[in-house]
Amino acid sequence: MSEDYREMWQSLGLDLAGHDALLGVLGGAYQDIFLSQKNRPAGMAYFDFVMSEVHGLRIRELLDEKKAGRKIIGSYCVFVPEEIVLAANATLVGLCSGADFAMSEVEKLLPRNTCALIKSSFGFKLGKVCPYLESADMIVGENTCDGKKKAYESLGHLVDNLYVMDLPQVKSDHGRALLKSEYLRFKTEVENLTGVAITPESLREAIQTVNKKRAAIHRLSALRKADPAPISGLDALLANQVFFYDNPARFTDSVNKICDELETRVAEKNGVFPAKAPRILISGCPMAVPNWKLPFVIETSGAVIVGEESCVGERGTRNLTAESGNSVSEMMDAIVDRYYQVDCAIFTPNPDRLNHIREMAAAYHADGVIHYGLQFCQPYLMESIPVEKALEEKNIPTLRIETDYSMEDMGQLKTRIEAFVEQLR
Amino acid sequence: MTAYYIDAKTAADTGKKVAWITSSGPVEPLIAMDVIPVYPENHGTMIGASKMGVDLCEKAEAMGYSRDMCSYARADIACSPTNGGPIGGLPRPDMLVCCNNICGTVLKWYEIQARYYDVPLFILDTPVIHTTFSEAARTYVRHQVADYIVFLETCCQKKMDRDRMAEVGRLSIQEQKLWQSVLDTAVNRPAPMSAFDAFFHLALIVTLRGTQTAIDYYTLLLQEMRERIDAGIGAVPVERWHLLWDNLPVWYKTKWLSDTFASREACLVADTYTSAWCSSLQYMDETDFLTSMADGYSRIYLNLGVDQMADTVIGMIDHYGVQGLVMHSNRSCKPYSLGQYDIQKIVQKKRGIPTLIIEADMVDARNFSEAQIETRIDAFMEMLTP
Repeated sequence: MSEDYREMWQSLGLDLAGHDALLGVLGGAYQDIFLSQKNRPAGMAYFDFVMSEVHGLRIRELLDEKKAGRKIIGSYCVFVPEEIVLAANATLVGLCSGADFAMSEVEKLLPRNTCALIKSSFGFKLGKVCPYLESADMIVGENTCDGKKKAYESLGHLVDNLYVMDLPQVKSDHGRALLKSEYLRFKTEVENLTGVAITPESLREAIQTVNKKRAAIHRLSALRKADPAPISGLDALLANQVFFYDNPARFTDSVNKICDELETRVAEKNGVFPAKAPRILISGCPMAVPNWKLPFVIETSGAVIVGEESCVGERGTRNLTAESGNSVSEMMDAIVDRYYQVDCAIFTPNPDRLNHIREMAAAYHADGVIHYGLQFCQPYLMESIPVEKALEEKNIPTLRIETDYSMEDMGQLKTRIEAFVEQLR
Repeated sequence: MTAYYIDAKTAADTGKKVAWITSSGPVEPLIAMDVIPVYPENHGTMIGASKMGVDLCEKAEAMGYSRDMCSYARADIACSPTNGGPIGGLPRPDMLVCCNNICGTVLKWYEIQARYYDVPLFILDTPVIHTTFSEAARTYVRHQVADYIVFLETCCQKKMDRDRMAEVGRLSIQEQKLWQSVLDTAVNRPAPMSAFDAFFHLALIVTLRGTQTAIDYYTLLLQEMRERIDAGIGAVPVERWHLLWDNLPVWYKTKWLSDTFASREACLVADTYTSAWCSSLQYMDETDFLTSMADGYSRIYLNLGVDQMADTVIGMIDHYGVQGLVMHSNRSCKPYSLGQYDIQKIVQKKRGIPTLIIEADMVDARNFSEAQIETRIDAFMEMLTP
């Protein structure tokens, strides 16, 4: 951290001792997992800086935005449309949910068999260590899985600015109509919060801004198809994670800059792993900062991760919002169409996800797929079996992993993944 | 129930169609279409009560399913390829009907079974109601109810008889009222029945809702309860404490739990589980049953927000005059178990009665520690004593 932000954190009501402990662990993990990698692209220095200031400079920026009258909206899910938030002169940030914290307090509110992601979001609130949550003027929950649906009821007792968005669990014309009504309700709520009416111009600009972010990530993803891979899966995951925190325009520039560098690397066949290293596609639950356990184990087992079929990855970013609309109504329809394509496991049936995994495996020349399920995440764990079956029918080796945020199973994971990687060679 | 299962098991011979349906799913249109409804969750209760749950859950785990997945789902999925369970597996379905007003797990579970049996699946998606049932959600569900009728007409290759549907709806409402009356008899002292009895008598309101058989059964049961009230016959020998149960039963330990509480002079006079089958009665319209199904099936207890659930619990505490609340934190059921700590706090704040949370599972006995739970029940009973 380049400055002392203690006064700022104190003003947000953070528990400084707890927060220091969190940053201490985070810094150490980052050093061991990211900075120890060999031959990293120089452009990753930007992301290293972002991570070093993720609770510092970025929070100061957000607070400066608030002072200037801009509102901050926090979310836990890719179904919250950033376009609507930006168009109403607000900033959308992802909220902390990638590490265990204050678990003993969390388990006074939630059953032990709740997934790590939900428990983490509560831990960061109860432990008072998430400056994003404490900076937010509105926290958006969304009715995805059973756990979240009920957990937001409990979170609503801990915060006074929770807004819950409904989502259909089936894809149909009726489901799309429900989603549209929810996005229109959200638009009104955001406009009321900011006092800014969304116009065709502001919404078009917002759509373009977010699309540029996504397009930059698409460019980065396409470069990972090369062999040798020009960037590690860990670093690419980091870019996908920073997608949720950073200023959109600056993020887009930074990703494009690193892509320029990676294009040169690809041309020079300069990879972070040797050519023909086993290539892995990860599929399944999202990995929020600082949930880097599984990618770290995979990439220290001799394989390179070439893609993430995940909300923090291609599931969350792959589709663009159509920019052709002229009116707010037309653009809202485009937003609904775009988000309704997200093939989250909360939808049943969900054939698009299976097709997408197959497409990704082919496009990224993956030798195998590792399905990552968070313990107690029923939607993804239940989908993992048909996913495994369908992939193996196509002779794509698949390994299903069920884990959480703890480090207790590191040895077990390492053994299983090394054996899987060996099978791919 | 035996006749019902014989009918269901011989459906292939009698030319009747069989639909598997979720426990709180809209069964009335199936009855109106002469389709035999079969409930994998009821099957789960039988598996649990027969103490066959662990074996079947382990079989599902060997098939690759997580031990953390709902034990009803695991037991049912394992039964399909093995014809396991107390009745040698359920009859093969011609269609599946899944309503997610109870949980999201049923969506994937029924999809797995639809794939296994290669039969059509209809999903009725009922958005959770945190505070109010929005007009958009109501419209969404109503459209799906209309689609449901089309689905049934397509599967059965015949038009629905709307008069028959209206009659089935009327019977269903009548049964729900009767069931509520049966449960209400436990306000008497001594209580003529306990929640453990309700767990048993529940079978028909779930399975045969919308039929005369259920009307006849609950009419007789109500009469018997009234006779017990008149004769002063209670469900437990000595009834000093009146308690409320929350969440599904622990099917393989109902007798043990019943005996444990009874031996401590406690009667569980009511529960939030069995009453859920009449919890949205106020939204059902006898004169327009199909239209009212959107509200009726969306606004059941388990699909409500925590504050509304807490209001229901407090209403039951007052109605049944209970002195303590026993909550089963059910490893299998997230919608029931998440939020229980909030409800516990609300109850303690508003009514100040002792509460007990026991951790277990409805079917998988590996998640039940008898000694630990007995110790906790003893500590709880001590809290009740002034």
